[in-house]
Amino acid sequence: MRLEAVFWLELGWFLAAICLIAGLRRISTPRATRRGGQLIASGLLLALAVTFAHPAVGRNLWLILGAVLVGGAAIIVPVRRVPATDSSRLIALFNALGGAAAALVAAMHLIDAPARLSQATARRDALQAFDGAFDGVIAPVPGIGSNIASVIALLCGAIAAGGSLVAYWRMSSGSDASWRFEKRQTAYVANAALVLLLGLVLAVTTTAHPIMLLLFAAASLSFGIGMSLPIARADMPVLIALYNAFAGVAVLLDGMVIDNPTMIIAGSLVFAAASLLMRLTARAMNRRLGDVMYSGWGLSLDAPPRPSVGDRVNPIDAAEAAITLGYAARVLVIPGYGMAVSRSHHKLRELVQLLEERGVEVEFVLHPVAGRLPGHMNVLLAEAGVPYDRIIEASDANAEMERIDVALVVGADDIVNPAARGTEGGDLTGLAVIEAERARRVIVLRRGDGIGHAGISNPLMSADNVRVMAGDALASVQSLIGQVKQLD
Amino acid sequence: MSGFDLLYLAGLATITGYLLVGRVPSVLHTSLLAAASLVHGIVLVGAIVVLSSADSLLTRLLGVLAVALASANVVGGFLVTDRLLALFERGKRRRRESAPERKDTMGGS
Repeated sequence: MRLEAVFWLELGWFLAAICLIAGLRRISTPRATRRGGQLIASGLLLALAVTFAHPAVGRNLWLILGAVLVGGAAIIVPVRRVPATDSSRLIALFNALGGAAAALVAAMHLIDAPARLSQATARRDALQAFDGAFDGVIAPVPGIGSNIASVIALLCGAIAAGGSLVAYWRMSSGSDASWRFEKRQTAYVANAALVLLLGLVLAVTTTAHPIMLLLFAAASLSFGIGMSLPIARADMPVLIALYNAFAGVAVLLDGMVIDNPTMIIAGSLVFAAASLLMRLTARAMNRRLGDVMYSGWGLSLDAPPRPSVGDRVNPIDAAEAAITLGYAARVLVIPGYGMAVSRSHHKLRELVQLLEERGVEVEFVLHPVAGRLPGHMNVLLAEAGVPYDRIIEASDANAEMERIDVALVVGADDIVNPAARGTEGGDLTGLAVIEAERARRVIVLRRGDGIGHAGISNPLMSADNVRVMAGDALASVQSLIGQVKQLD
Repeated sequence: MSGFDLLYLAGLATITGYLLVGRVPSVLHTSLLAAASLVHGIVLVGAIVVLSSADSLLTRLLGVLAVALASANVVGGFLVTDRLLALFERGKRRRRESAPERKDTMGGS
């Protein structure tokens, strides 16, 4: 009977791995739907259900079920409380949870490696007795190899946990400052050396002393924390993907240690997807990964005083702006963080619908790092029901810019700052921006102080073809709606 | 499986991952990141396996913690991924609904 159970176990794990791959595939195409997420979830549930057929599972059953229920229930309220637009912060939290769980699994393996070894042998024997076809396929990872894998898994999991918690905290607290102190490089190197030393010792000893394990875990955790503390808040998207990749590697190695192919596949997929996303995000911000990790971009505690915007801006009132928009042939909307802050996306959609009823062709261009996180604007526009095919990429917009009658900038600054293309752009230098100033006319809705996240003054605001409508974006859009309705 | 089989598996799965998500549009970056953080919830399986063979107080404690954290990862990861994908799905459905309308106005003019 036990043998049949093992057969269903292996089959279930195999099908689960296929579900995970198919689900990720669905989510990474433009036709992504909720089905992709549901496919992944059903893969996880399947893997979970058949795990109870594992020859070793049976003891501590109530502990397992209790922990599953408590852990699963505890997360629901915090998730519900965070709005969808702040999802990235939660993703950081999940990376911390997964990384910590993976680190704990590795730690437990190190604590009683001998028991685990005999268990894996038992499973191999069971499979071999079941069918000759499994001959030699399943064999436990030899001692030293599995020790090394566990140590690295513990390290990666702890780094993911520590780093992600910092990212989560930084994004929740809303503090822009990256944290730096004197001689932090020395402390960081010392920490790395400690991690290396303890890791080596743990890898070669057969049974790990719990105190030493605790020290190693603590050192790895603080290594992860130290890694992300000096990094600017603007770079958090890259950091989240990085720790996602770390959690993936930890899960992958755990899978090797406990001989579970599904975990290996899942961990590898996460590692691949996250490291690719990290590179894509960094490229979108035109930042080299090394710069993100080793220098503090953007704001720090000792940031220079913010420059003030030149006072030579050309103002425009709602009536005139409505006329400009209402009689244009092509309008390009460039939303930024200001739209998110004022929560004006629903009203913006209403304005766009009014314009479209007048025959104006309206498109949205989303800069990859508009807002504070990649996809921030996408989520808001989707929430407001802006059609998917009306959203274009920044490079396409720049190619078309001369044929745009009015570029409507809604609470965006850095991503349309022409200074980024010159050498005077400070922290923005090199950022691929939307070249709004090349449109025939530009209307900027902005709140007033006129300085973007990066603290660089924006020459766009005082250009000749640019009109600035001051005030909160929500109020401005509402008055624009009123004025457009009055146009004949 | 032997050590090298496991390495082959990891290598092939990584390449699969790169090919799967290589052409993801930037619109879906956050959803995909959420999905990736859901997928590593599979660590729950490993946590259950190690907890069920734990026999000392220390390992039981660590195991319960691992299972609870991994469960939170799975449940939360699914809620957030689903919510993000639902936003996009709704956006697309509205497009389909409004598409015929647009055609009518164009035909009329």
